[in-house]
Amino acid sequence: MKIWIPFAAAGAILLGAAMLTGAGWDTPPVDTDQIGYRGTGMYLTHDREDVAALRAANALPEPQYEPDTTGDRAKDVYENVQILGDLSADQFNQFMASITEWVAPEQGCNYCHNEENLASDEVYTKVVARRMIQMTQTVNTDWQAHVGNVGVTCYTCHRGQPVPNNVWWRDNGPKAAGGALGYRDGQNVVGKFVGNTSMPTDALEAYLVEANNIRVHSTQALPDRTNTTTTKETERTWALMLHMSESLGVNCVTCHNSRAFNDWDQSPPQRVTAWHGIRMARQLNVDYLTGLAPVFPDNRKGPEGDVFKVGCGTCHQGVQKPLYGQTMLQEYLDSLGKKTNVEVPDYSKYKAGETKVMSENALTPATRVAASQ
Amino acid sequence: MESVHRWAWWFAVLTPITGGIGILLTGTVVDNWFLWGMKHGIVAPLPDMWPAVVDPALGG
Repeated sequence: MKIWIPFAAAGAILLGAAMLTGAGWDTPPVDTDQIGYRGTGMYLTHDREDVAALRAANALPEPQYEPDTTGDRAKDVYENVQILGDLSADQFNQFMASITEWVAPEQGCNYCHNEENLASDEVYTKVVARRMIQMTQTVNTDWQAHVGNVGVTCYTCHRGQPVPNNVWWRDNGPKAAGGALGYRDGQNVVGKFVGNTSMPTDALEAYLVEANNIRVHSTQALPDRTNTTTTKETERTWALMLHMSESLGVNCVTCHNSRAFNDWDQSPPQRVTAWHGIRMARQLNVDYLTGLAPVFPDNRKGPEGDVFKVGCGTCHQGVQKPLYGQTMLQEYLDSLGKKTNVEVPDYSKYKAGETKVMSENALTPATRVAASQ
Repeated sequence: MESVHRWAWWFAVLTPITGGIGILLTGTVVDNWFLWGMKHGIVAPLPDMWPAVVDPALGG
């Protein structure tokens, strides 16, 4: 026997095993849905095992008890209730039980509250939670173009975790070697937030915090020098698209027509929803999360010192419709379905462990007493 | 080399050549291949599957 044959056979077996186990491929059966006209390759594929696992991971939590909506309002019963004061006391307590189950089921009430004085704002998580309730109200009222009537609750992102799993932060990539050759502009390393590709690692910041132009396609058949976007900008757009694709567990043709990605007239309606979603994520990051920077301690910030931010995966978690489109909002319309207080406190004045009442204007028994003294 | 490898050799050679031609033409001679195809009448006239979709950036 020739000497190379066992080596070649061993190499082939190793390579074959590595391809089958290492590449993350889906094993059959895989279901395919045709969503576009025949011959255009508009197919969505779903691996049955993956779908079964995602369905199990996206089951709704057990509903809470039905609260009594009558009786005294929470703002009259409890001190320092700034956002949810118009709920009944029973609704308020039920909401507190729900948010504990959604966000801090292991840590319990004391994750946000000082157990000696539940009304106090000295635990930073309580200040953050209050702002996050305002954020959820904004999503449900101002962004129906994206969330529809399904809406979101704390659970859509948190899923029983104090910090949602799929948040992102500024990623400048590993420090490059010195000299002119060392500058890689965030590229050619695995970017965790851009679908594990080697696209620019900081792409999300360009679109989900800053409002850079996403559209890079030329709208003319022939070059006429009107399209000045560069290859680098194109890669950044691509990075955002890969983030969306990975976050939703879908491919390009979910939103784009295979033959003309830029043409809205041939695009599936999901692209309009996604367009609003990009703007929604941007507003949430700019108006809600980065504003909380003075409140978050360092261990709740990224390596560059910026706060954790939301991307598409924060809600979607690998599914095209978060929680497979099941709504939890309907039981919480009074608390999360409308804006109840849009006031933004001055977070730069917040001191963890000292600040007892975050807002001066909160019309609650605690501040009424403080104001009269 | 009278085998499948004759085909494989040409495939290996022609793939980078044709790909390279495509890269060189894109952005210099043609900027948008779909619109270029429209211009030269080679785009299949498919039905409008989603007539309600309009560019949300157009306002309204």
